[in-house]
Amino acid sequence: MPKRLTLIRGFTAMFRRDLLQYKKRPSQILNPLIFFIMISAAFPFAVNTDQTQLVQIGPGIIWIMAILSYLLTLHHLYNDDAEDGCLDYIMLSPQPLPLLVLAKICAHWISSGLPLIIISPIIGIIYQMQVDTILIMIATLFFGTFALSLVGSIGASLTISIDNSNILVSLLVLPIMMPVLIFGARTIELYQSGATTMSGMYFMSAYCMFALSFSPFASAAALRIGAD
Amino acid sequence: MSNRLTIENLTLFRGDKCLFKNTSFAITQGDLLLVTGPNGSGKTTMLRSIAGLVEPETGTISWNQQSILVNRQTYHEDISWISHNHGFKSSLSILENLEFEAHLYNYSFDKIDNILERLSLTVNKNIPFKFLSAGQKRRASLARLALNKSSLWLLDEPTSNLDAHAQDIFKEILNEHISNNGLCVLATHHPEVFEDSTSIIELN
Repeated sequence: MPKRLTLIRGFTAMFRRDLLQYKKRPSQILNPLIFFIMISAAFPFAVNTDQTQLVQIGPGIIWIMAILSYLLTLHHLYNDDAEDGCLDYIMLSPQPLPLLVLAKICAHWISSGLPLIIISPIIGIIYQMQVDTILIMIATLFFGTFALSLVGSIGASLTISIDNSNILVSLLVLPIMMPVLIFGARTIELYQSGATTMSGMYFMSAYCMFALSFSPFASAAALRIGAD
Repeated sequence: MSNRLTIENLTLFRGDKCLFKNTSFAITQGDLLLVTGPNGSGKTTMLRSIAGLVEPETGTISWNQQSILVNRQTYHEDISWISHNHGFKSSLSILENLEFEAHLYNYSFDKIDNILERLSLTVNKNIPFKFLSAGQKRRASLARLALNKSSLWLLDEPTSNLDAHAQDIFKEILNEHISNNGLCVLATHHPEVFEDSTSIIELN
């Protein structure tokens, strides 16, 4: 079989297996999603604000909750495979490890990032956002969650040999994700005030591309060290 | 070219404990090497270092006169690995797990029905892995071996949890592999089971 086809076969096999795994264990997807919906929806009730204030604080709260709920999912990225021994078999396969890591990141984003993006318009409506503002929010969350999957992969792989590493992963990833949080929330606010959103979008897409260029390699190297 | 695994001056520590020091050996086609020793003597670690999962303090591990660290992918095409952990996803069935590996390791999936039949797993092939007994899980690991056609097998306690019948099937599969010019490094507490072994290393 040609090398290129073999690589595609390996990538799709890893991607499909992880999606199947998420499908058979829906709690891994639903728990962070319900956390995101509950806290985001509870905020307007707890903080007694009028419509104008709600529109102003909405983007920041949605973004913070999106990142926090997303951090809950990172632990499962490699730890489950390490615990049941699958990680050894993945590392010993003839496929390049960074390619398999990328497949896992893509499956993680589909199962964790995409549901969050799909559900976010409902939260936007709770925060009295206009339809066009919701579209901008979706675009920022698209780049932001994918960047989080990429950067989170490095954090998750670095803590692979540590028990109960959920908090440690969050501590490692959160500071690196601050620029995305700032630009993501600020881009929506700027759109609401009538300013241009392109600079924010450019930054977030560039951040995403930068993370995409090194995250699979850094994660693969960290996994090899963690297996030792 | 005949396949050859060469270990030279291998030294490995776990924390402050030296598991083995300046260990050297070589095996070629048709060889079955047994690694024995009490619990904690480093059998699994030795297999993991031969697989390239653990980096030794000193020494070199070569496959066909080339260090295994030079071209990992080529080396991985030639090895099969069975460890204590089964390496199957608990929520997926045997069939789903093996299909994934067939794609990942580029081996043919055509003979799967025959192999599952031989290992008495046909009835259980669509049941989630977590619902299988310990022995059935071990048999599923053996199915992985029978499907994969790689030259070097690294097996860590492959007969644990197997009944007498399954042990016989495993020995048949192993003998087929060895007689087809395969190589095998096998860690076990029961070396007497493998009377056809060509050499034994005892770790203390």
